[in-house]
Amino acid sequence: MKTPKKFTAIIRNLCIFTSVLCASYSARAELNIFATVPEWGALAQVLGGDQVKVFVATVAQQDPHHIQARPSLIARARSAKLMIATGAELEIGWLPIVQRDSGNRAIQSGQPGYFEAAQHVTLLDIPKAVDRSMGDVHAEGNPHIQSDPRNLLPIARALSARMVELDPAQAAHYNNMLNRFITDWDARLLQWSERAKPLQGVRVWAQHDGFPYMNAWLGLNQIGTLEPRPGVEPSIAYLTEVLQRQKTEQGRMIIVASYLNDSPAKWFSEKARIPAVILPFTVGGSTQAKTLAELYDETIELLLKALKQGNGS
Amino acid sequence: MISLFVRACHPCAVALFFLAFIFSSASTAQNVPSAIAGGVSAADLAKIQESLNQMREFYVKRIDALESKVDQLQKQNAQLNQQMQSQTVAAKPSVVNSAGSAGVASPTGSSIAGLNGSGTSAQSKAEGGALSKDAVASAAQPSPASSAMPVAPAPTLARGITLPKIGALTPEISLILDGKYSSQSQNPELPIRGFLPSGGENIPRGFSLGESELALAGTVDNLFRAEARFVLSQNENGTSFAVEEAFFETLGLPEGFKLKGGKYFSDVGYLNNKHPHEWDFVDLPLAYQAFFGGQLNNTGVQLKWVAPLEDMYLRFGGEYAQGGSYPNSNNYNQNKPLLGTLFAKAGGDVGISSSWQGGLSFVRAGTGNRTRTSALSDTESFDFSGTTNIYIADFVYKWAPNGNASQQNLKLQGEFFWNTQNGSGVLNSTRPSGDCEAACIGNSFTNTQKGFYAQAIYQFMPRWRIGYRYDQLYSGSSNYGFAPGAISSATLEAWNPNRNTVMLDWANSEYSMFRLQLARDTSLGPGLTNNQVFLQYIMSIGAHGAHRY
Repeated sequence: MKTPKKFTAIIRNLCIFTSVLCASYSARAELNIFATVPEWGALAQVLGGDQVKVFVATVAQQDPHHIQARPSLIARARSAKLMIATGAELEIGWLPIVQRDSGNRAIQSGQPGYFEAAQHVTLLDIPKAVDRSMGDVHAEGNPHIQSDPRNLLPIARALSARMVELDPAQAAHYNNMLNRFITDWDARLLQWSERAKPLQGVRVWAQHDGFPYMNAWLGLNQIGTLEPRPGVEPSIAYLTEVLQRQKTEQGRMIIVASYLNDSPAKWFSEKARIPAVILPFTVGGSTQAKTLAELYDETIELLLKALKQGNGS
Repeated sequence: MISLFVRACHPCAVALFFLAFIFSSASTAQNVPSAIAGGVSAADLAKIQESLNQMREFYVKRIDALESKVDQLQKQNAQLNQQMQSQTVAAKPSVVNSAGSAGVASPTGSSIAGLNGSGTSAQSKAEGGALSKDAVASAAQPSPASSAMPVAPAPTLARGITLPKIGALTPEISLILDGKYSSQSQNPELPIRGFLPSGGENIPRGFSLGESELALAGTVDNLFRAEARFVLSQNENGTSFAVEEAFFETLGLPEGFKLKGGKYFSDVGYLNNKHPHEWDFVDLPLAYQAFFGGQLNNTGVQLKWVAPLEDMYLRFGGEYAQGGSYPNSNNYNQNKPLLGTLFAKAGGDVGISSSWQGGLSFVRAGTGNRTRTSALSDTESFDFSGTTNIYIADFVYKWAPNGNASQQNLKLQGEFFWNTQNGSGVLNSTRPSGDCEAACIGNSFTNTQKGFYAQAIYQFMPRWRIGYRYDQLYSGSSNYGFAPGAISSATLEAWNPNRNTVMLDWANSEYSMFRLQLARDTSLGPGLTNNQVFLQYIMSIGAHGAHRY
C-alpha cells in the first residue's frame, strides 16, 4: 500500500522541481480527449464544449489507414482520459502501439476510456470472406462512417453518455450540449436532404471506395472504383479498362477524398470529360470544411456544382 | 400477446421492455411535478401533460408498427421453415429495414433500430460465407438461417456492445518469410578486424533462407498481453529453431508504468528492438554486429515509464536480464543476472510534416565467474573476464508532405556506439613458439572502441524506396594488453573499417517486398574489401501487427 503512494509522492515532488515541464501533470478540471481523426475530435468538442480538451492525432491530409505511432501521439495518449477511435480496423496499423506504449490503463481496449464510433452504427460492405489478394479490405465493414451525417446522431449519443460516465460531475453540461447538438443536427439533416435532392440516383465513380455511407445518404449510385482493389493505386492499363466501362456506364463524376493522391481521378476526368470532385472527407479536408456542419455543407455543394458542370458541357 | 412476442423475437422483447419502462417512468413523471410544483403554473403542467400524451401516442404507433413487423416476420419464418423442410436452397432474404434509417429518429427510436441492426450485423458476421450471395453487405437484413431457427437468436445487449466474433479469442498469428541471394567478393564468415569476435550472424553467399518468423500475440486478460516469436533459420545445410521473443507485458499499471518479462529485444538504441522484416537494409549496421553480436536480446525483466508531458514524449526505462551471450559470457544457471540497461527517449513533432525521436542508452554486461571465449583463429582463442560498458546515442527524423507518408517520405537515422571493455584477457594458443606457448594469463586491459552509422531512406513514389547507409567503426588500441606479436592472428590488429551501402526496394503491398542492395565493406581487414550484392524478398501472411515508430 505504501509504495504506490510513495511513488506518486516522488513523482509529484519531481514535478514540482520541473514544474515547467510537468505543468500538465497537475490535476485539470477538463476531460482530456485523444481523437484519432478530425471528425471525432470535432464531435467531442461540440459535445464537450469548454469542459473538454481535445487532441486530434491526424489532420485531414493524412491517410487514416497509414499513420505512424509517433512519439508525440504516445505522449498525448499518456494523459488522455478518453480515446475516441473509428474502429472497424481503420486504425489497426498504429493505434494498438500507441495504446500499449502510452502506459495509460484508462484508454486500453475494453476500458470506459476507449470509445469506438463504428460500434454505434450499422456498418456497410461487410465482406463475406477476407483475403489479402482483395487489397486493403476491412473484415468488420467499411470504416468510413463519417461520410453520412446521420451516423453522427447515434455516435453523439453514445459519446456523450461516455463523457458523462467519465466525468459525472459535468453530466448536466454534457446532456445540455448533446440536446443542443441533436436539435441542430436534426434541422440540418432536413436541410441537407432537401438541398441534395438533385443528387438522387446520380451515377458516380469513386477513386477509393471511401463513400458507401455518403452514397446511401445522398442516394448516389456508385458504379465502381478507379482502384482495382482497395488501397491499391490504379495503373494506366486498369484506368483504361474503367474508361471503356464508362462508355456504357455513363458516370457523371468521379469522387475522391482530399487525402488521396488525385492524379488517377484527374487523368480519368480528362479522358472521360466528366468532373473530378475532391471531397473534404473530414473536418479540415478543405478550406471551407472547418466544422462538422460545414463538412457536409461543402460536400453537397461540391457535388451539386459538379453535377451542374456535367450538365453544362 | 407479450409472451408470444418473447418467443418470436427476442430483440423485440427487449425493445418492448424498454418501451414499457419509458411508459412507467412517464406515468410516474406526471406525479413528480406536484412535488416540485412550487414554481410551476397550471399552464406548464398542462403543457407537460400534452407532450406526454403526444409521446404516448407516438409509442403506441411504434408498437403497432412493431407488432405488424413481427407478424410479417412470423409469416416469413413459417414460409422459410417450409422451404427448409422441403430442402430447397435458402432463398434471398427479404429486406425488412433499410440500412440508413437508423439514427435519424428520436433517441428511443434509434435505440430500437439499434437493437435490430446490431443483432443482425453480429449474426451476419458470425455466419460469414454460409449465407446466400446477397446476404453480405446491408446488415439490417435478417439472415434466413437464424430466422428459421426455432429458438430466439442470441441477444445483443444494446448498440455498442457487440458479441465477440468467431475467432476473436484466438491470438493474432503471423508468418514472415525472408529469403536472399547474395554474391560477395570475400568470405563473409571472416571476423570483423580489430574487434573481439561477437558471434554475430552473416549472410552466406548464394541462395539462402533468412529468418522465417512465426509470431503469436494477444491480450491475456485485462491486465496482461503476451507475445511470442519463433524463428526458423538456415544453419549451414540444416535448420535451427530459436525462440526470438517470448514475453508478457502489463496493460494496467498506474502512473504510466509498464512491466515486461520474458525474452525480448532490448529497448536500447533505435534499431535494436526492430525485427528483421522492419529493417531498411538486408543486414544490421556494423556497430550492432561488432558490439552486440547482432541485436541485444535477453531474458529478464524491463520496467518503463512515460512522463506525463503532453507536448513532448519522454520515456525512461531499465532492464535487468540474465546475460547469456555476447557481450556477456554464458550465465546459465547462475543466481546473479549480469546484464543491465538504462535508457531514456525523447521525441515530438515539428509541424505536421515531421517527427523525431532521440535516445540515450547504457548497457552494462559482466562475465561473472565464467570467462567469455572468442576464437581468433583455428589455433588461438581469447578469454575475456570483466565488464563491458556500452553507451548509445540514437536519433531518427521522419518527414512526409503534410505527414501523409503514402506518397513520399524521408527517414534519417543514426546511432553512435561507445564501447569500453574493462578486464583481463587470457590468450590460449597452440602455437609451439612465441611469447605465449600455452597461455598468457591475467593481462589486464581497458579498450575503448567506437562506431556509428548514418542512413537516409527516401520513398520517392508509392511502393518504391531508395536508401543509403554509411558505417564506420574505430577499433581503438590493439593487442589487448599483450606485447606486439604475441597474438599471431591478425583478428585483433587495430583497424578502422567502413562500409557504404545503397539499396532499392519495391513493395507490392504492406505484405510483400523485394530489395536490391549493393555494399562495399572493408570490415574484414586491409586488402579484404568485400563487394556485396544482395537480393532479398520478405513475404508476410496472417495478422500484421502495428509497427513501432
